[in-house]
Amino acid sequence: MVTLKNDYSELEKTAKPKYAAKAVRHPLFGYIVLTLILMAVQLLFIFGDGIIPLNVTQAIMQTMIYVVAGLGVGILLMMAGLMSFGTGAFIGLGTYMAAYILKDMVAPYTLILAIVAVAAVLIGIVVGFISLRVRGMHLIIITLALATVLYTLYYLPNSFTGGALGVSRVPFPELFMFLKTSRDTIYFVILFVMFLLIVITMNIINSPMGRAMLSMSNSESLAQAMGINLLKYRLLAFIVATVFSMLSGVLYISYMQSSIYATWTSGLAMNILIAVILGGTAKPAGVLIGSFVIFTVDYAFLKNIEFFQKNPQASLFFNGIVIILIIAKYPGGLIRLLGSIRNGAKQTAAKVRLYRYGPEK
Amino acid sequence: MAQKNNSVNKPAMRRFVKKRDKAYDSLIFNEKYPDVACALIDQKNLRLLKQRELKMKKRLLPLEIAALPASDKNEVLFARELEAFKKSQDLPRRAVEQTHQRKIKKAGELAAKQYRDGAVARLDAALAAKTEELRQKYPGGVGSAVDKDALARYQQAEMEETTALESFMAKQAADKKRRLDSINARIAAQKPRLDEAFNTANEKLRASAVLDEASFGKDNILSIRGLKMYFSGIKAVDDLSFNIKKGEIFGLIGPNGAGKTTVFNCVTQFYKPTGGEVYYRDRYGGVVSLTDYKTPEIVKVGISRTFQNLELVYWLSILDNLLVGAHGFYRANLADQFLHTGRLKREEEVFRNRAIQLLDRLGILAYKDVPPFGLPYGVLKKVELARTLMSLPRMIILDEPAAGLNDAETEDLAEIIRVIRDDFNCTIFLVEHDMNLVMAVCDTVCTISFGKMLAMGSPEEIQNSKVVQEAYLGTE
Repeated sequence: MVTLKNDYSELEKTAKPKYAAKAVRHPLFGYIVLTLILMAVQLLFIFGDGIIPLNVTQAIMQTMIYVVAGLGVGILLMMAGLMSFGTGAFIGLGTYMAAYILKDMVAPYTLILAIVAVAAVLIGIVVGFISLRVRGMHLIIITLALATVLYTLYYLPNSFTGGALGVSRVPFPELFMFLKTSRDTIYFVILFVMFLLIVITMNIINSPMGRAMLSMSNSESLAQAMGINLLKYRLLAFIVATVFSMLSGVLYISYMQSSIYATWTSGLAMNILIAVILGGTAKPAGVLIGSFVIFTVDYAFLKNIEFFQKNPQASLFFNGIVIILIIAKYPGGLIRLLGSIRNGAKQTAAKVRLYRYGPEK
Repeated sequence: MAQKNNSVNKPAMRRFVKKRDKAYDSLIFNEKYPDVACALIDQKNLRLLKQRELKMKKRLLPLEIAALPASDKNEVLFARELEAFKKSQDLPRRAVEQTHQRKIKKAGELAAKQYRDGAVARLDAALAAKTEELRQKYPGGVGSAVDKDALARYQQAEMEETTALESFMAKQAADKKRRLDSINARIAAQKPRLDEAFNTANEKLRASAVLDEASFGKDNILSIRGLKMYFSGIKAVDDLSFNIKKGEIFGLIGPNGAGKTTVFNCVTQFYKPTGGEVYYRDRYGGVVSLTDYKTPEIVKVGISRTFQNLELVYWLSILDNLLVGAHGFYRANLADQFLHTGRLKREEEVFRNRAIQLLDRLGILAYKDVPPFGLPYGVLKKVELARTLMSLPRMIILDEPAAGLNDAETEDLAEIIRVIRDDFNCTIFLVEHDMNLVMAVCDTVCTISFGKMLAMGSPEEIQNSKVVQEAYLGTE
């Protein structure tokens, strides 16, 4: 046998570097794919002449708006372990502030988002300092009371919220002072903001701050012994939730063009909470799945069926049944469903291999 | 006995403590970062080098075969292709065997044998056909004539590739040197400023020291003086005083309800003592009164604790649990954390590196990526110990470390406690019920009962002490 001078055995062993596999393992891969799919859906809607029905894109848009608020609630509930019913009221506050700016002056959209975010930080600090001295049930009651107070304020006649009539005919915002948006193109703005906040949420979860929040909700004495300032991180979680909620309000008004007090009940906050709990995790994937079940299914599919059109309350009944079934089957949240699908696929592949080829030598 | 200096301006002190800690954290980070960066660059360079070598071999292989003598050339090509074909038949052959096993159960031995013989014969026939085809394709060459052009081409390519590889390595080395130089230069540029900030703040704090050196005691690290802790009339700790020397293993024992854990909580400021003082020599060499600090600040002066019941975060992996222990030492601010800037990534790298080293030292590196669900109790205890070590402690407080461990694990724990004391220069202060552990590891043992001290001394003295025996077993 002739031997070659160099050793080429490595060449056969090592396959090509798998860039695709590496990309798939990136934590943001799924979210980027989702964003591209959602973008394609809207492009199909605009140019595809009736392939995608109008109510589907509307449902997606509304879901995306509530996902933005849900991300903040996820951090507050699943990471810091605090429950707040004020989300709906804060979304409302965001809509009124954005409407106030949009109606009276020409301002670029990014500036509006920035102004509302700064206002949200201030409001979060003030409300947080008052309410975060207490925990558990008492905090829930305080946030519920806060939601009611804000709801009543929106309802009382005033020029800021428009009283019982609400604000309406708010013009579509302009991007960078010249790019006028329309009912179709605002979709992309909402999508972009949602993606940005998903990235930030992932960053929060994977940073010392996220670990601090988790250990704080796990055990306060542990957190204190490790040098974690409880009030600081509770406040931070609260501020993040407030900022996300109010940004979601800005997105809402720029799509809906109107805002009325009756929307901003604690019922909305409860719906978002349920979406997060159904998801079962603070990770954006969980919030997305939960919101899909709670909002998209309702808006996009049930509203088409004649029975549900005639009896709007029936969709609530349907939602309730779905929630009971999901919680009974997946108490850890729908995120477990993703995990069990992945594991199931792996196990099935392994079983097929074993059946066909026998055990590895 | 010297009195506590009560004229300390607390807000100012807090400000200086913050400044000093910030400078100190940066100094510590700067000390560790070059090694970590060097290891990371090496790791990446090795990977790239391997890729480059593969590329080189890919180019050289056909050229080298072409340059072989005529008789060898075809033989090599024939052998390589035949080998590849045989390899491609591996899986079908295994499938045949597996089907054979199944058929034995279903259709009987005879049918199974028939099937297998047929299938193997088909595979063998395919192999034979391929061999024949390859023989045709590569007839055995004759003579040792070498294609001169091919040889020249091969030699040319080999020379080119070798120089390219060498220059690649040189480039990597130069790149590494440049990056390390820039890191070192940045660190060197920061050093005077950090040193000055640290020294100024430290000097200010020294000037307002709560207790002078002489009355604290030169060897001591912790001094508890007249500690009182009353819970609405119940005297959990009543006028307790003792000193802990630097580098010793100090055990606190006593019957149930003696107030041992209350002493711990008074030291770590989970409780504010009703009276008395807890003096401590911090990592910067000055004496401080721990009652001036808030609970989360205690870990920064170098006191780290474990818990009687394990307090691990079950949603995080073991490695991330350890990173929680380093929480106070991150300098990355909130904006860095929202946006995951390079600064946060650098710091994460350093702490991750330290966590892996610690897990390796305690022999539990295999568990680093799993959450703590369902792991053995002994492992979880070690994780807690490793987490306390993440915060660069000078004194570790262990609350019943042997609770729930079996004899073998307890012995293991005793060994680890000694290792921590010797390798990490820590003083260890432990509360324990397991007398075997206490007598085996402690240098000094203090016995308390109903919040008052009974006896203090070496383990032998305590074992022979009459008062202690009475407290544990009762009087006759």
